[in-house]
Amino acid sequence: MLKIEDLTVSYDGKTLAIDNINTEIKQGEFVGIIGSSGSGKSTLLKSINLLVTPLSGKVYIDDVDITKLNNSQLRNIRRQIGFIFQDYNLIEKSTVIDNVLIGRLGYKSSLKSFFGLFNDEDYESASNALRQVGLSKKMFERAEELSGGQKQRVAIAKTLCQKPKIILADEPVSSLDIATSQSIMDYFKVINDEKNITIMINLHDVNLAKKYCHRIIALKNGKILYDGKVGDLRDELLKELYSQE
Amino acid sequence: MNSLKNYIAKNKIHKSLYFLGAIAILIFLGFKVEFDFVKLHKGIPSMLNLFQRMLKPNISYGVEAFDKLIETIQIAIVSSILGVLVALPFSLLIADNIAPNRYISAILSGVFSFLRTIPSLIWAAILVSIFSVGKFSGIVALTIIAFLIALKLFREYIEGIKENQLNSIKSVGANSTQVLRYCVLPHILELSISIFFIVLETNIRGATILGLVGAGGIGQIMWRDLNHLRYDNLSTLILILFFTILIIDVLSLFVRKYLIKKAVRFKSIDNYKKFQLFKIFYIPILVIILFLFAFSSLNITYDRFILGLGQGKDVISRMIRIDPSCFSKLIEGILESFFIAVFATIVGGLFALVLSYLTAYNTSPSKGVSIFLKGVINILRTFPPIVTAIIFFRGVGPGPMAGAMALSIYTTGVLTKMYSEVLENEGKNIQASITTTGATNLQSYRHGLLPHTFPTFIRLALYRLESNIRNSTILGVIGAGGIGTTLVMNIMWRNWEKVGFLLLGISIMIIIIDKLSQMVSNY
Repeated sequence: MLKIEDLTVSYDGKTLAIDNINTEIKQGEFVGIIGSSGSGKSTLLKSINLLVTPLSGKVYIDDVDITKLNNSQLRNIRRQIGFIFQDYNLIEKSTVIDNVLIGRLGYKSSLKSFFGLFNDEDYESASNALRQVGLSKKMFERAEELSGGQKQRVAIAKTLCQKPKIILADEPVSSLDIATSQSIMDYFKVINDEKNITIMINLHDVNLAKKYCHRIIALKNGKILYDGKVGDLRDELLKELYSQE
Repeated sequence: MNSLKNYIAKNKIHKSLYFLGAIAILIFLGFKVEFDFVKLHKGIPSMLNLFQRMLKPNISYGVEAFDKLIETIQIAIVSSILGVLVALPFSLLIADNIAPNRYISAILSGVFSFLRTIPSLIWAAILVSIFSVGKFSGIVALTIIAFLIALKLFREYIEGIKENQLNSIKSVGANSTQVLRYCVLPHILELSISIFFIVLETNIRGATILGLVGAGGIGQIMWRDLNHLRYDNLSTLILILFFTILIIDVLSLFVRKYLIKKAVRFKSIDNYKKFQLFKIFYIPILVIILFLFAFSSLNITYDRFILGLGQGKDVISRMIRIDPSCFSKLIEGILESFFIAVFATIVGGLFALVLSYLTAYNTSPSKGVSIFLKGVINILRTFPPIVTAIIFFRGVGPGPMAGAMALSIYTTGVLTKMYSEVLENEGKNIQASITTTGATNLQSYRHGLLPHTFPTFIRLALYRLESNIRNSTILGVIGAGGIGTTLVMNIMWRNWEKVGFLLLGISIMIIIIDKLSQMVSNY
């Protein structure tokens, strides 16, 4: 469903953040991306929904090259791609339900959403999503009142509201303690198992990646060092991955 | 060992050089602003006499002044409302991270930063000669000021939104209107209330002096009483103003701190949906009511307004044809304004360093001293410097010295308040880490807190310098030195070509100073 061809990204035009990456990902896979900081994990995810514009290369989603799309086509594709950030990026002063409803924006006309008008269906799907992450009770609280783990669950609910085919998660548990991290990862696993949503997740904790992911992509200096089953990952490779030159 | 000795010797030399340099600059500036201890000494008895007479306020006069007081408050509130309402849409156009068009944003920013250099009193003076004497001119002048302040605050808030936050809305497939509505606007209502009160605090001070140029408010009768030497009346006015400003400041503090935190709680989704629907109606209605209220207090007839617009057009077209014949006057005036501002910043800064130590709870030798000084600095920063300058006239006569002293006092008040808050908020641990070595309270300040917070102090002082430059350009309106005298004369004589030239000169100076001070504080 997702195919990346010869993808190259550079922020300053000189150094390459992503250096000629090729890979293909099937519907329902749970892919962990590992690598030290600055290896291009974040950039890779962000170029899949074009938050970062690649220098060259192609990104196919369901055989459509999204780098060629115009703005409104791009928005239609984006709504099928959930994105979860390390720092949650909720609208802190808005209520939890408003934050989840943001997931519906891709399906709304400008005018209706400008006045904050959502229909019953939208509210239904928002409250369902909140139930799935166990936060029904917090529905009308402001996002700023929640703990870190709760905020990340709201972000997941928001993404579920988009009815995505794929969820990209950029270090979603790096700011959380071990127990909360596990519970957030459990939610990803349930979503992956039950809804067959593809998940690509950046992790800096290799043990979490080994525990939850089916497949690992290891990046170093913007290049793929390893791309394969989690079981075939060798310790020597990890040593090389995290070594400093 | 040698290098340590070098270090000690160098340190000593550096310190004495800095100290001597500061003294030399201060003496030079004191000379430039015609500071004179003998004059000050001679003036003290008559100033004391003034204070004595002021201590016997004429209470019955208060009733007479009440109308003017209401007008002052009205001017401040109406202009703040209008300014904030108009600033919001403009802020969306010029904030770097969401601006729809880079060129429009750059042009607007340029125009606004030019307009920001013109002080409210000058706006008022120009508007009075266009729209005639009265509060209409005052309201328009302060609306411009409110607009520019609010715009800056809105813009800073919007530019403070993290890129990822915007990305998180974009990544669900939202278009740019939706990003605006769901990422930028959610807090804007609360923020607007907060900004309204910040603007109001500035405008209530501004409104008290508008009367000096005939733009309405209590300043009008204040100026009259001063010319008639009715110090008993003047003291009544000053008392009234003090309490008014105090009440508004306290109210503003209270609203910004508590009211905003309250929010409606919901029990069910249905209620929530109804509330969202209700919001569509009540927010526009609220905005319309605010506009209606604001416009209803503009007491100007349609014909006069149209006439004014015509005159305004005429004035602007004449201002653009700048007349540089008064170049020497401009340089002379600008230099004097500049010297007054620098003098006031340095003197105010020195006093503030000492007073802050005595004022901050955690460094002050006793709680009593701290509370007493907090009261004093709040009184010092209540009055616009131009009013304080009027009081100094009594002792030292008109001229730059009165202006410089008035501005120094104001700077001392504001800077002490800001810096003592920095001392209170920062560095409990730093203080403790020094006192654990057995050092005294003063030593822990001198070797711990002071070096730690000194860069912040410099930043605050530079910020005061920017504000002082603006203030020093209007001191001349009442004859307290600087470029203001020439400027107001030319406005009165309607030499618009010269006014245009002078304003341009002032703007360039202020923009240069602002840029320099930004460079220094980043460094």
